[in-house]
Amino acid sequence: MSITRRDFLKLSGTILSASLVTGISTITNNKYNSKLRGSKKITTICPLCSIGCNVDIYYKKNKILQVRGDVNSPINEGTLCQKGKALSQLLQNKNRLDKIKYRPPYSNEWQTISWSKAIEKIAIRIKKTRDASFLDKENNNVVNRTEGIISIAGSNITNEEAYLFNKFSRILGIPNVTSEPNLKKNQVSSALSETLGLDTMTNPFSDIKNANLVLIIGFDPAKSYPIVFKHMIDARKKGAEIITVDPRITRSAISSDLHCQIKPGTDIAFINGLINYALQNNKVNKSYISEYTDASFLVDDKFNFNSIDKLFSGYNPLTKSYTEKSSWKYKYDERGNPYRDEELLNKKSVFQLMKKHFSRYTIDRVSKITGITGEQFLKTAELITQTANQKKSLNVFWGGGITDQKSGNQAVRGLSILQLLLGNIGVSGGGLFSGKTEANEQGVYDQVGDWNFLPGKLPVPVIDNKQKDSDLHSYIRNNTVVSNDPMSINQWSNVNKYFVSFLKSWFGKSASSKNKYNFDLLPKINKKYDRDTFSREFLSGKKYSGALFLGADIVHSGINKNQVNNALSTLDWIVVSDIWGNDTASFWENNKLNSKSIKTEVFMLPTLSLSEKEGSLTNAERCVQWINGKSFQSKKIKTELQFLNSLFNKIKSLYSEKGGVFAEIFKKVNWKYNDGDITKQIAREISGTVNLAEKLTTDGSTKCGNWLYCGMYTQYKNNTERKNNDSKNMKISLYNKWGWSWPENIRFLYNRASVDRSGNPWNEEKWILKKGNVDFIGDIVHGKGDVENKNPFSLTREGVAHLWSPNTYNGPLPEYYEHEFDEKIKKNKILNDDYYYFASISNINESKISKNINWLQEIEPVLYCELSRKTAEKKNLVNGEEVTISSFYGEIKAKVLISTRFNKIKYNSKIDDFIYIFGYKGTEVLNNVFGNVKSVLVKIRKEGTI
Amino acid sequence: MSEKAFLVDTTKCIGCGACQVACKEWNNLPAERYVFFSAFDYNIKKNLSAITWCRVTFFNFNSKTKNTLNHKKWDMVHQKCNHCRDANCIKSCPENAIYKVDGWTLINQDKCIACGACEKSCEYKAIHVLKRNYSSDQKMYKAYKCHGCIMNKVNKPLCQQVCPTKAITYDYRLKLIKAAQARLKKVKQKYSNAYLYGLYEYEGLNVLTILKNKPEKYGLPVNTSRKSIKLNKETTELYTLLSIFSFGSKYIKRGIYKFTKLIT
Repeated sequence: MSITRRDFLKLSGTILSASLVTGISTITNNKYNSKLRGSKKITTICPLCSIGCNVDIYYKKNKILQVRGDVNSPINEGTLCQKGKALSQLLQNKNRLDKIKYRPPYSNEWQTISWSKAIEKIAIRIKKTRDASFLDKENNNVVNRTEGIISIAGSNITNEEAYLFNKFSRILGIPNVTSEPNLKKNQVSSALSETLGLDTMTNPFSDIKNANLVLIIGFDPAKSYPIVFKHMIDARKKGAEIITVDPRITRSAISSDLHCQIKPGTDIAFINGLINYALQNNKVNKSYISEYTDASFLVDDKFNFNSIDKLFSGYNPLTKSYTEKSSWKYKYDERGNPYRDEELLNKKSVFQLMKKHFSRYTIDRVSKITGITGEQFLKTAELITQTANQKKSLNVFWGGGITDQKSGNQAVRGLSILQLLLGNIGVSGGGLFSGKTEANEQGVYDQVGDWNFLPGKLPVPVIDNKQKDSDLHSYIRNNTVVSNDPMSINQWSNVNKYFVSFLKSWFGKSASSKNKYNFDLLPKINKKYDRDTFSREFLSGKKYSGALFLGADIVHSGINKNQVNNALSTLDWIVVSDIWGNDTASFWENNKLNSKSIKTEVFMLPTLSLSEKEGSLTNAERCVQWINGKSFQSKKIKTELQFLNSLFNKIKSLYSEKGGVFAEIFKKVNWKYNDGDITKQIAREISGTVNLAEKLTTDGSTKCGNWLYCGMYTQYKNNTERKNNDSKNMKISLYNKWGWSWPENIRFLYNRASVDRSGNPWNEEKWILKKGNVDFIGDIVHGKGDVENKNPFSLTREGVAHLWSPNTYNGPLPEYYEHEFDEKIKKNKILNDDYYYFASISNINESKISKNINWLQEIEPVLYCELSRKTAEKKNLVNGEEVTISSFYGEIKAKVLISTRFNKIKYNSKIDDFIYIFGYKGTEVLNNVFGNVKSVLVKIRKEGTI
Repeated sequence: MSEKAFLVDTTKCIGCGACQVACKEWNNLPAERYVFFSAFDYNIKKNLSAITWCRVTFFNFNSKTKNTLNHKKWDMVHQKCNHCRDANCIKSCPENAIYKVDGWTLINQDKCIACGACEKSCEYKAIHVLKRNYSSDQKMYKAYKCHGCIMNKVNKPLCQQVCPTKAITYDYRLKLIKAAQARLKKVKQKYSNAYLYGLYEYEGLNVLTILKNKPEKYGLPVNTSRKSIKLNKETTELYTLLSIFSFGSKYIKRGIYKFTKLIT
């Protein structure tokens, strides 16, 4: 009998618990009693990052004794990182908020008010604002929207809360619904959906150990994602190598086999160099790219690229953007299918265009831009391109170093292109991974998304000059993706089914085919609600009078802090919920503002952290897990879910008593939740009445709140509660009975790409799908239909992955621009000023909710900035001294750490050094200086000098 | 034979700090009061302390040289009491409060008079006398250090239990030595200077560490077998004599110890 490590862990766990119960221990010392004797245990999920580790909490009389990793979990396998271990300090912390705080207008202190009073006050404010700012018609089109309210969801709420928040806001007619991570990020998520179809990670974390090579870029998983690094170390035990690309010497860099210390901001050049090496040396997976990607498609004849000013055709110098993207389109035949050249030899084919485009990234040029030696680049490229072999796979992992950049979407595109060329998407040990900081970032994105999405990424009806979704038919016509290619599965052709089922779940019995499923009741937006317009209007302080920030801290969401503070002071009321007091709620205490002159009423609601709630949570690998939490607070604290439900019912009764604009929607909406099992009711509503999205219909007989989550909680079973780590006797350990993974419990997205046209896996050793006697065995097949006649990427129009992107706003292929930095200089009016230093930001140990845990602060203490010896000498600074760092966006104080960890950088005669700033309160403090960019020009001032 | 030991493989350590937090959680230790990274490189304290029994340091082999950009010059090391087999602290303790169980060096805090003799004698700076009362339960003016988690009855020490990458293993010492030597051979292919620390130092340590480089680079003492101290006979005799007059009061005993140190 062979015992695996998991069995061993289980066994030792059993022995341990047995010994705890009986009090037997191998080493006895009678003076000390076992700490855990007589304790109870609950299993929940760690809320401190988005890996979703399962933790066992041992407690006695409401006091936590120990937090331990769940030995059954395939995600963390019984271990925990420093953050998870410090969880007890989050759950029991005297800084936690436990009362509702209320700040009356023009007051300079907080008051405490009761729950029912708070609900009543908030309901009255919302009704007043809605009645005043409701717009029922715009240019004779019914729009039904409430323009005066802003709704922003943070990422520390459950899927159910996020879904209900979206429903609450849209039913009230609010068009400005968005999630906090979306405000911070620069369209990075769209890069993945434009390339592959869905904007999420492709493989589960437990699959990292099947990789032959791991590439970490712009991320320090050893520090911020240790549990992921654990899987990488497991891969290394099997002979894999780890490459880290980072300007700093991080803990990950030390623990890797190869470290490429590139200059900050040059990663696109580095990635393009790798792509070029693969293309020039023919180290690509030919059969994969010709079958499963658009490499063979022909591009419109009018497309060209100017290699001197590095611009694609269609650039408008006035708006400084690509306004005319028609030349980027594929060349279509009369049936609307792209022309193809299977040989990949046509000059206008995507493959040849790419070859030409990337050929400018020679080893010499890349080495000159990135600052690493040619030999090192060659060695890295050689290692990476070896995985073009079908038997080998490369795992790419990126983080904030890429995604926080202005051109982060192109870097992500570059990495996806590299992975596609090497044939590593959809296979075991391959795929794309991204580091997310907040626990339910993925789930909140799926349920709330952005201003233009309903749950399940269904587009919000738009009525403006270009598009008129004035009724259900035109909505469906405008939003259905049509493809005449018989090879394409094209899931977006089913928008009608998803949308009607969605309307049924929101409006219930009142929705029928006669009234077009109450389509008219939904608010219609015009395209003026995008992020830029929103922040401009919000900051101008004219349009809005109230705001709901559910677990969100907008002061630190990446917009200029001083401007946000001013904008908040123009609102009539704001509602904030958080586990700690946050800066959005106490903006009026800011010393630059005169609190006596601020009219804004503030409601600050306490809430529970994710591991104390009940509900489902989606981790970064899309695995939805159910939390059965328990609060260890001395006072009973209500969650956002209870808040939204009570508030909605209150508003509803106010409208039925007193009447108001568009009150009929409250009669028609399906909103009947009992306080007892509201969480489960909503989970059922999200999941819908059928167990597979393909069974949804257009005749109104099915309901589904979010088609991506269809089947999560069926009539019979809450699938997210499953805790079976049986790996199905496969070599690669497919834990498909642990929780539930959207969509359809598929663990490997695009997994049809792991088999060839006849259904045989590319790699027998690491198969995830295989032809059985009748059907496929292994993972659930992503997209229906046989492999021979259907393409594997079911969410793109043509069914293949897009090496070429006709829709990306800043170019169909990634291109490195040095002048981006110069533009920043001009924008920041740097030339007239003395912002000498180029600074970049990193978080330490932190997500937003971990700011008061002092065991973590001890590992990396206060906010600090690292700067070189040269700068320190020039400014006469010593270690530990406090300096003021100021930028265009604001200023902060930080301690100095003289560093030897990064290369010296010279951009031009003025800007010649680089500073790294590390956060102590997560992104909170840092965004004062950074806005929503990764790097910025700053000046440093020593205390007491000018 | 029954001696247990740790094996710390620094080639697997990723420096996350889970062991440090796990130790603090299990032993109810508060966080350090820090100002900044006041020690070398990225560490807030130079040494372990009475409330930090285990930690990971992140440092440069030689911070003074200017060329430190090579990532191979940086390392992370897991630090805690090494549980020497021939321990200086045991020899130096005037009250014989420090003893050995299964290879672990333990402090009998009923006997401890907080004189600080052990703190001075420890070359690894692992044992410390608590200087300030941290008001958390049981914390008194005594000497504290890692006790291999046997005081709290766990059959696996917490730092070992939590380590995400399994850089720490825990077993019988003789078994571990074999495993360590096999591992060292593998590690040497990549790090030619790799070294197994803890085989001979102080007659062998119960924390074996596979280092990527020579132990001198990590500031660890080598050739220690001869260095082990012998307490001044005079001091011991005089202390034993005088402590009769302490009437069992630890406070007086501490005074007497300081007095004997002074006059001998």
